[in-house]
Amino acid sequence: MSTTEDKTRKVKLVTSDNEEFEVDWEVATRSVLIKHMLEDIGESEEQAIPLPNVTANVLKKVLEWCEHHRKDPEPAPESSDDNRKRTLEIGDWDAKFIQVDQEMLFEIILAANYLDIKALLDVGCKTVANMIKGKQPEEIRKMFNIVNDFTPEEEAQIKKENEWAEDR
Amino acid sequence: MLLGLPSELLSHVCAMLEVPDVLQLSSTCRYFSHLCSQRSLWLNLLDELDFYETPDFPPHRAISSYSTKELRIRTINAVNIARSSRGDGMLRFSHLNRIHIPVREQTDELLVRKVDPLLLPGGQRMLVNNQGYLELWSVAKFDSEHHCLWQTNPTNDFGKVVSFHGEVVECDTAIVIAGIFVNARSHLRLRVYRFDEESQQCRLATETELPASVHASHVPKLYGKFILIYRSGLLEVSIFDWASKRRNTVTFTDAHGEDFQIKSALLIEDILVAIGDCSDDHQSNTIRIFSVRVERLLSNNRDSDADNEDYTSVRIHHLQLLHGTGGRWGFAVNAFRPSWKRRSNVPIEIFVVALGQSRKMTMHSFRLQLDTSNNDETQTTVTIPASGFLRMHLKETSRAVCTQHPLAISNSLSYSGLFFTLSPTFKCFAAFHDDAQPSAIHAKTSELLLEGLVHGNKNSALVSIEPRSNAISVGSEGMASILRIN
Repeated sequence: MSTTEDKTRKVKLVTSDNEEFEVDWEVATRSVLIKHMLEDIGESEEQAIPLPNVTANVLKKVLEWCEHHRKDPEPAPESSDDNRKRTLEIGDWDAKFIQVDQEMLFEIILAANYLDIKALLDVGCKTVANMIKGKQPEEIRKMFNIVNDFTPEEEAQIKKENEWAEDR
Repeated sequence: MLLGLPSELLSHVCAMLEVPDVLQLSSTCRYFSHLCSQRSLWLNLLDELDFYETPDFPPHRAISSYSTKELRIRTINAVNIARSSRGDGMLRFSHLNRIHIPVREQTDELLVRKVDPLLLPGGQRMLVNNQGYLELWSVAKFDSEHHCLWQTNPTNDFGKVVSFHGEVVECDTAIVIAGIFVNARSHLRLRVYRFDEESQQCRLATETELPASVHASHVPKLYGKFILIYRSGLLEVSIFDWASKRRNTVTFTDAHGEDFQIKSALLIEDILVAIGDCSDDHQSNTIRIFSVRVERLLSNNRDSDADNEDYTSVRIHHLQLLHGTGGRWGFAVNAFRPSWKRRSNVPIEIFVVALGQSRKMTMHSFRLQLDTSNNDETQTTVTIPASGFLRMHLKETSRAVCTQHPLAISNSLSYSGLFFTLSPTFKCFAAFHDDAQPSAIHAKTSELLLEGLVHGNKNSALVSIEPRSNAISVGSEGMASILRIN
């Protein structure tokens, strides 16, 4: 549905903390959610799109990503699944982009999920996966503030199962 | 907080991890322990790993039949084996255990005094045929306190078991022993036993008599509900579906109408693959491989009690030749296909280990592409038309030759092979033994050389290989030995 008119069109987005962002149509429609909403309200309207689940500081960051990836080809619906998995590699620009504190990282993941930006969601999840990779349970707990709520019996049982797994 | 993310996003993160990291994460807290035990995650991990070649996932068992716990344990195991076998160089066997099996009172002259030990999956238990009594032994590693957990009662109408061929499957809290049992009168029965770990009780779950036409000298192989019965050097293979009691006997002829001698037969999912040579063709040492869909064979059958009249003649359609080094051949064959990948274009991998009279052992592996598109299910004629065949495209992917083999000092050629694949990097392993000589094992894989000598008395013989614990078992009189590949 992308016409030449779309290229110059601006889209207004309003965050949960009532901040307004005006961005290019091409940038905003990296989000499948926004794209569908724009289709619903029609082209003539100058209506602002409310995003009640995203705060301004997070949206700013997300839009920075969308701006950089505005020319990326549309991902194929489900077929790219095979290539997407297993490679935990993240592109140079994305890696630098995602160097944020944990709170922001989780906010970006939640926002990408809500706004339906698959590629950004993957960058976020891969980053979390990379943080977990190669670590011992205690290191993982410390890193993510996870409380060990196992009973001593349960912990012994889990340890036994995993030890058996690491045996050879 | 990480735990503030919705569970579907955390599952998405888990699916990006590798198996060892998933295990570490599951040890952090209850929530992750729960999240990391989801079936979908393990199916996902398994699909990524391509472990269809490993013994943890035998090709005749559908992935859907594993419980989630079983799926998890087997996947972990397959990962471990793949990791442990990444090294190179020489591997040797070491003695792990010797277990004295009390010799029972001998009343039947037909029975030999040797015990036949079969290591169960995981290598922690051993099923022993001790002169007709089946015994289940606990053989935990380095444990000197071995004990018998269970034994059969031979006082029923079937009597003592002379030989046993079957498979053992571990379920959550039970061991299922399914097999074909042969008694002293050469009668065959299919029996399924269930041993419960908690109660230490074993009970007979199913028992079915097999037709009298099947002789004890045939090789019975059990593949889930199908039993394949053949005898090396003969012309026919019988296939039984013991659940529905359908059966058929198949003879093979080549394109010129010449008879085809079966050396080995196996089932890959629902496809019968037969390997052998033509009766007029011993000198050229040609191995021919044939395949046909089992359902097609069984649907041609009229009556389960019909006698030998109901042969299905199968004409050889595609051949793959394996040129040998002279003399007759012994074979060990195995084949795999990723059973959960439901894609018809995934090739089956067939391995053929050939042992020739020139004292050379050759291992060949083939990728077999089966084209199942022209399989006409509506055909009901007895002779399968050429168009009904599975088209095969064979491509030789590797070959390894051992110039020494264990029978170098033996003039006889009584040998047998056991064969399996440990991991994608540790392609195959073959073992041969000769009852007349101290048993020896010599195997060549595409990457590794394995060798070892099993010191035993004249009656000792290699009985089973348990790939999950890298162990083999050897039986002799009143004794079972377990060796481990180091």
